[in-house]
Amino acid sequence: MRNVVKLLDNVNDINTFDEVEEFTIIRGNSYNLCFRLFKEKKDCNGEPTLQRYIPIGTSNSVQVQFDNLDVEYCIKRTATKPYPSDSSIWCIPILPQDQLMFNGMRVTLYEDSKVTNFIVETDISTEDTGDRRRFT
Amino acid sequence: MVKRIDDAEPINLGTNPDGSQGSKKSIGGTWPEKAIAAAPGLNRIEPFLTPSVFKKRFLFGIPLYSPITKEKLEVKDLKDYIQRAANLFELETKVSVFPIVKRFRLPFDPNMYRQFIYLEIPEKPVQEVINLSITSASYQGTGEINENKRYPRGHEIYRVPNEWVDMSNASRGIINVNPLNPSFTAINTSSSIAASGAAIMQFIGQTGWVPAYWNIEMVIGLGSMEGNIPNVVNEAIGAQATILLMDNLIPQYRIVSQSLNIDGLGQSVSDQLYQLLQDKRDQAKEKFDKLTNKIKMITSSKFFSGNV
Repeated sequence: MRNVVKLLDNVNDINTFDEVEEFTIIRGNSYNLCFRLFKEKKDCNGEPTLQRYIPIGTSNSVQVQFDNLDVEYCIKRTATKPYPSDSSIWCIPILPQDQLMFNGMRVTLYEDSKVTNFIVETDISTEDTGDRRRFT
Repeated sequence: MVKRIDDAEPINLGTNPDGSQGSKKSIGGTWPEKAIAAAPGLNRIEPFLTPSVFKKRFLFGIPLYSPITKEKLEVKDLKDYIQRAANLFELETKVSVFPIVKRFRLPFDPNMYRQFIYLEIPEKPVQEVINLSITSASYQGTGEINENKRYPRGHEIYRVPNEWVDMSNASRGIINVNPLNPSFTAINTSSSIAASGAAIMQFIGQTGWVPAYWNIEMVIGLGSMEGNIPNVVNEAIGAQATILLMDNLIPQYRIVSQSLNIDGLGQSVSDQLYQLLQDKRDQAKEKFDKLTNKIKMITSSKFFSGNV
């Protein structure tokens, strides 16, 4: 069974948000990147379906890592839980100076001593605008 | 720590662990080749193809479901088609879409050596050279920081200062060593490195051909570190993904017409979808072939030349 993370947009409360399949980060902007933890389960027809996952440990934390070929641009941040009543939702800040690479996000959940890695299902693109667009 | 194929030491493209200059960058972009600036207005590079862009550009008006099982293709399925297409593109063109760090062991060839150490890299385009050195074949006991890693490097006998590495033709896969600089002190090369290197280089010039002599580690690929890739590469990958998708859809729409007759009454229904999908596949195939040929030509991956 897969462990999946989906990015959220327009998050207002635990019931009001959009799950997004694609997310574009404009370099130089700051974001509060929110995401939700899911676990794949089988439904009554035996088909795999995603259900939100609420960590069960007494001490839970989520680490987010943005990989990059250049170690200088690797980013590691601890996510925060904006809504204590729904601990499947976590957020991390994206700073203007962050150099993110396409689909380089990795999420790890720590539930006491249990470690679970999640696959980020949302496509995360990064884009430059105007004269900041660089050649490859 | 860093997402890499092996578990070798993390790469810092800014500065080497010993404090010397980090990777040597190409003199211009890899796409457009050797570009250093451009007027705004036309985006030649863009983020890697996403499922929604793929749908808009290539699958406009195409039903993404099976008429037999009624299963629908979801975003994650399209993502899978794009990934497969990108791999097939790399296989076809021998060009990496996203940057990748590779290590080559190139032979010592006296003829090439006398031409400013003319090194022809098997893969192109080269974005940055991390390390050019002469290394031993042995791994163990070398004291190298990665000697116990999965893909270790041999003992570094002599590292060519990156200041000497000439990146003029790197995008075409040609690396030269050109130590024509005002002075060693001016380029901040330590005198010990310069002295030992000069001695080795003088001596080795008298030798014949040596296999696996140069060790070169470099960043290769068309895409930028951030994941932006040339627009035309997205076009080729999209065309290939369309072919893969059509290969799944076309057989399911094979029944193009049905007719029903009862006594004097008759009804016939024909569906153009089979022909439409077939045409779409043919168009995509033609586009993919043309684009990959052009890209191979531009990156010099079409021909290989060397002296024997």
